[in-house]
Amino acid sequence: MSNSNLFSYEEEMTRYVDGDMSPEEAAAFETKHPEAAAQKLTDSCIGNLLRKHSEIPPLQHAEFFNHQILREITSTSSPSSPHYNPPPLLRFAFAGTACLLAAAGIYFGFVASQEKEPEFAVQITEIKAGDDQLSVKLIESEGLAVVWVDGLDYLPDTYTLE
Amino acid sequence: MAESISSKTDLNAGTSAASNLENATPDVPDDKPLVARCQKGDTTAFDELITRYRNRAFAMMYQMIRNEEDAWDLTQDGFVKAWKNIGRFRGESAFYTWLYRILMNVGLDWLRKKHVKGDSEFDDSIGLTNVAAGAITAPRKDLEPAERMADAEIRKRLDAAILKLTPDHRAVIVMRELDGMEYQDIADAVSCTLGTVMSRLFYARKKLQTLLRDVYEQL
Repeated sequence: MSNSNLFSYEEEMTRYVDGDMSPEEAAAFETKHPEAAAQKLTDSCIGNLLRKHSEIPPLQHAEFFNHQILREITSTSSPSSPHYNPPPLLRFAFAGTACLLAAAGIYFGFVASQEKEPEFAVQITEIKAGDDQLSVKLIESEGLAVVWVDGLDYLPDTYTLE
Repeated sequence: MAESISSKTDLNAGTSAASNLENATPDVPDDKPLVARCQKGDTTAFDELITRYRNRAFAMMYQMIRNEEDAWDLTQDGFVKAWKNIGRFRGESAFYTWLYRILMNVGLDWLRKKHVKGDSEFDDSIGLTNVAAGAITAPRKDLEPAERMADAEIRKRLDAAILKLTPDHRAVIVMRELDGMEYQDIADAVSCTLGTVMSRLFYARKKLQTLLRDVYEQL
């Protein structure tokens, strides 16, 4: 803190009041700011007043004070485990990996899934029956198979589906 | 539990106002073994730490809050918060320094939530042109002792003046003037730069000068 040019007026005055300047710095500051000495006296006076008249009541019910804290900490969780602080480069790598994973998740979750075939796919197979008037289609969907026969007025009694 | 508590070390029961955090307690027993036990979940070790520091912690909180009941509750909150985070305490500072930061932030958060704004930070009346220049700082000889302000009245005026400071200004005044902390420790405690600490101190002192002018002029 030797170079006073680094400090604003407020900072310099605080350092001056608190005796944080070298004698040379303080003398130069007083020359530049004639009001500084009076201000230092006033601030010292107020500081002394604060210290002299700062009456702090004793802590009441000290045992109950402990008891309440202990009751609270035992009813909640155990203290947090020691915190590992990784080096900045490692943190950057973690952050990059996390971003990539998030991007991949978004892609596969939203974009790629839209390109899939619909779940309710229907497979239709046309079967040549040998008769132009007759058409037979096999429709398969979700494990269910339907045989659609067109061109027959009725199914003969002798017809059996294999 | 009462018996066990009464037998423990209760440091700084008198609560010296001006004390540097690291240097004020040269005879303090080592906290590290207790902290290590706390980190393993031992609540009796934490009970010991509470007993050790409860008076200092309460004194510090009272200086900030200026209300006994609220300071009592907030000091408890600070200890509970310390317990929850003790796993993250790496012993780079003294335990009380670490606890002090927690307490200070608990106090500041509370003051901010209560919308304690103090008076305007950059009040024109405390501008650079009309601050202490020419202020009468020496005691006036013509005053009789009976005419001087009674201690109780002075205390009342000091309390009122501190309550008019913004939470941030109040914090730096308490830490610097009452706890005797260095700028860097203050900056660490409230997570700001050295310049901000010095600037806040400057404006807080200006504000106190304005509010207490008649008090210090009569002394």
